[in-house]
Amino acid sequence: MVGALVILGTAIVPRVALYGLLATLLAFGVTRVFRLSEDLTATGLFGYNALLVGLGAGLLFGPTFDAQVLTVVGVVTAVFMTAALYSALGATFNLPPLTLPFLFVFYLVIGAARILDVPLGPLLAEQAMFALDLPRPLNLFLQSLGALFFLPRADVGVVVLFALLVHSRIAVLLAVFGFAMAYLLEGRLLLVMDGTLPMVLGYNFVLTAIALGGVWFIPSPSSMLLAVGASLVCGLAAIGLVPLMTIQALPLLILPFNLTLILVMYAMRQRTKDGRPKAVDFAIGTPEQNLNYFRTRVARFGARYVLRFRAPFLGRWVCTQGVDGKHTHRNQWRYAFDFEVQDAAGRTFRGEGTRPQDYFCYRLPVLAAADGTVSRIIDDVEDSPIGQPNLQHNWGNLVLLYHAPGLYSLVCHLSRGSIKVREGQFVRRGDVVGLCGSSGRSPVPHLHFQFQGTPTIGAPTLETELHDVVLETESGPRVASTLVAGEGDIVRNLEPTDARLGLPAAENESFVFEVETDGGTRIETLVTEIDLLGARVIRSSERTAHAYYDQVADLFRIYDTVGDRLSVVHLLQAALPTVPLETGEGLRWTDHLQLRYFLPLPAQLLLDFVSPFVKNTALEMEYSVTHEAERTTIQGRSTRQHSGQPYVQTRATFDAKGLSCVEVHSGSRHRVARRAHPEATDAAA
Amino acid sequence: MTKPLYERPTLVRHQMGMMNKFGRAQAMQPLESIDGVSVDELVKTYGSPLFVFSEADLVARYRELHDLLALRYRKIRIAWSYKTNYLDAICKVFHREGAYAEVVSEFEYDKAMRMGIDPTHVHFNGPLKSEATLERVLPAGTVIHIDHFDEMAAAERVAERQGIRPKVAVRVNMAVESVPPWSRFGFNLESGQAMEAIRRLIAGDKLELAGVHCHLGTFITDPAAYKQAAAKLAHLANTLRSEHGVLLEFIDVGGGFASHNTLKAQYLPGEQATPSFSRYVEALTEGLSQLDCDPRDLPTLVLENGRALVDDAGYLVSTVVANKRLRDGRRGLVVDAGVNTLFTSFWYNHDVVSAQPFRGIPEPTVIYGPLCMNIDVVRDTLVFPAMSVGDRLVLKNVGAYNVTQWMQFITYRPAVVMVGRDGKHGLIRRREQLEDIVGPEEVPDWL
Repeated sequence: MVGALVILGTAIVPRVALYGLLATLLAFGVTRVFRLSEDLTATGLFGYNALLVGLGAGLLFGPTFDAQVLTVVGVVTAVFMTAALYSALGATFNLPPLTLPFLFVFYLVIGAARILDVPLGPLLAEQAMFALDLPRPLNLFLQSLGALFFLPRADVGVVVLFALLVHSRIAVLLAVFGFAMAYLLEGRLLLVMDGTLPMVLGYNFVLTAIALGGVWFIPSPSSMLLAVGASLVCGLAAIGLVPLMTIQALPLLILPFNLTLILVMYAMRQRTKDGRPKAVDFAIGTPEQNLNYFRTRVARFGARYVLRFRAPFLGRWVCTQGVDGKHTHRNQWRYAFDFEVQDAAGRTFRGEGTRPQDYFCYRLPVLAAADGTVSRIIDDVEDSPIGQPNLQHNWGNLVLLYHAPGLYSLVCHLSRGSIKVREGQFVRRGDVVGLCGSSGRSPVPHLHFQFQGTPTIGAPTLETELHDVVLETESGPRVASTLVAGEGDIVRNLEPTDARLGLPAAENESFVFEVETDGGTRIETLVTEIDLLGARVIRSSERTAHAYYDQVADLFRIYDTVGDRLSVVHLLQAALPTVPLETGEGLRWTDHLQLRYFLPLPAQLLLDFVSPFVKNTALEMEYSVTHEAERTTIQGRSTRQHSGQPYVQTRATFDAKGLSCVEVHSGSRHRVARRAHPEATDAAA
Repeated sequence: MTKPLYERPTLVRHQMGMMNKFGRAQAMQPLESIDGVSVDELVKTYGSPLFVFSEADLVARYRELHDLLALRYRKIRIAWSYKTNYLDAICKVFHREGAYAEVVSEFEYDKAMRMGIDPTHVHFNGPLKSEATLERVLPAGTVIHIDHFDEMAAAERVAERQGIRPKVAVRVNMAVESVPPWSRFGFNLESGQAMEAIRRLIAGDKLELAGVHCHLGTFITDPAAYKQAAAKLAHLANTLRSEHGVLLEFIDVGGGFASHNTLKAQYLPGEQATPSFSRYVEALTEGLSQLDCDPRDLPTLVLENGRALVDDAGYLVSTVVANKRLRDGRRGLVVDAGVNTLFTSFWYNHDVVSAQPFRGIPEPTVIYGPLCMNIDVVRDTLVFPAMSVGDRLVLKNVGAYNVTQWMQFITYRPAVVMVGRDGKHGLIRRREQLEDIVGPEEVPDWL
């Protein structure tokens, strides 16, 4: 759709469009002949740079043989240049080549044309600058947009603007911001040798604003500020280059944008903390996709860690000191949890409690909270008598695990001689590393758990969290996606049973659904696979849509769903974003869906414009599970209400054969997909 | 001012060695209410005698055991032993808490299915599983615990006929110190019979070996026995893994934990002699630490407790019908519940308390039931305060086996109620009526 609109736009000047098309085809041919990476070709990187060379040449030169030869050589060079820069910039700086290949090649083509005396075509002057009967700023804006495709015409600009609007509303907003900066600056230009300079500023600013404000950074007020600030940097680059480029008689094109983007992105990566604006750390999409994916991800999984940490113990423990605790969790060691075991009456020991072995937690197994390598152990500190902490060896016996650069987890005060791992050993989540004790600064037996950034014992602690653990509340057990344990919290890991609810777990499982539509039913088949990068995927056979999922010992989870909104995979995402594989009654949990999917189209579009500025665009859902005979039902309802009813309600039912039905109800829309068992269908047929 | 309690006059023969009347005072507290519901109200509502179950006690006992297991072992399962007490309401409390079902007959299996239990959540034990029963339970996914070679052969025939490969467990018996061996169930471990059975099962290649099972006995008051049993099963699992590459899904150590009752032959009262759940659990998990495999491949630890979960939650309220003086000077108390109702009085010296405040001198008393049978002794001699006709007493720890092994003999079987949280109570089995008993009867037409 967007591509078609852009082609339509360039087709206003047919020769330019033709050159562009031929250049793209030629580039594609070159990549095939030289066997350049097909994956890279599929991203459009080669085609895009070649297209720009083609468009530029089409605009610049007349239809002479020399010009055509020069263009062909230019396009081929652009492909090579792209391949080379992709590797060089990517490997060295982890930066994208952007349109630098086009710029280098196009400057070479212009220079060569002069020396070879290739005549310039008439287009530039006559057709290129076409204005509509509009106020000057608007005209300039549209021309700037058109100039992105070498056609600084307002009519082309209208088409490009429309294409941009379809592509992304936030991008249009950013384009307006960028252009506003350009227009403000234009009034200050003293020396305008070339009438096109305002326009050059215009499209460079627009591109800079979109790229930084929405594509490479998550759209937000801070990314908007970055976009505006970067526009000024871009202005400096553009205006500063004018004298130099004029001497060489070369056009600025989008050189300022390229320089600015690389400069700002590289500089922003040197920040010690990635936030405000947050860089896109996943596969980039449109600003809307970036924003919604990121917000949902943060709402679901927290913003801090990619790794998931379970509770470092078996069974039900109580947190006796949380972050900023009364005793020792203060200042640079504020982020830590202490755990003990208590009985139904709330006592942590039996009898008098005068010996460590009176305490329920004493010598219970302590586990690795996540996969990691044992970085350090201490195993020879005596367990302290009750009430007599050992201040010589504060941390007591301990196991320090390395999980990721700058992320270690520590369990300490373990019992002497109980450590079951060696330094350098790789341990998996849930492996027993030692037994709870009372060594070190520990008046009573307890388990201390913390994250830290370095392997030094006594290093400042990092924000400590547990993930996907069960918090026992007065209203029943709740699965917490991210838990910062507070004093008095009763915490346990999920206790998975062998019953797996028949949810996708392995490759090549197929799930056939009968989907209710307005006029009857249609069949959709989902098949599980593992993609090239090792992600587990449920892919629809009939529709272009798939969901990323995972199933670990205690949890099934759908991470993200992409593609055709009519596919069943989206119903699965809504009804089963997280499924704890525990069969206890009354388990509840919260998860988040992308709100925009449940809005009518006009509201969706409107929301896109404001979403960078409003806090919460993730839809909070409350899920609960009930069992009744062989039937398990997982129900979800959004906390957001609409005229007294939850905005979205979901229900998934499971019978002895696994998932049997998924229903999603939002507003007046009720979507149902029933599992069809193929053998049953055959019998019926 | 409240009315002072009436004190029944008592004549006490002077005995040497007794300092005075206070020297024999028992520290008995009257049990006037169960979970906040007065015994009086219960009897007025449902009649006497009356079994009363405390939902809070059931849940507390289950959770105590479950949570202790969960602190020490990562994959655990408690299968509720139906034969102990298979009233729907009792089963429902445990299933709600996540318990599987352990059944030992087709009748119990029917009862579990009627309650809507997932057939794959049922462990089927017992020496009698007819081929017809197997035809039914194996395709449903129920795990049977094979007791003998004939059953193995029957299961294989069923598997072949049905074209399935059912999951089964093999029951073994073994010798451990301090427990008389129950060698009649399953295959003997020490003699090599168990290994032989397993090799036979693997060679037959028609059944999937999912677990091994042993059941040491009943009312075992020595936790160390469980450590030995668990260690032996762990070694068996290790051998299976190393010799046959079989990773067991579960190791079932059966039940047999003692409740807080006092066996007739026991010297110390149950309150003191019975080990806590934590001692059993520590023993079990210590034994299982012999398992030699990756933590993720650990078999699920299955327990099949009944008595220890339900016994302490059950009470029998009974009403005094008469007082007598026996020939030897002891007092005789006739109550309206006999051994036909309280079957466990053959095994235990039940703890009996008064349901109302009392005064007066406790004296040696025998409690008799209402049957005209000499065996109908509900409680042998205990020192008990004087009671008047119409007074109520409560027999404690009667939750296990009574409402399954009771007899319809001479009298109707009484009602069973459950006391829920917040003072709720309700019938879970009504008192028997004549129709219940004569219903199945027929009189042939020639009579």
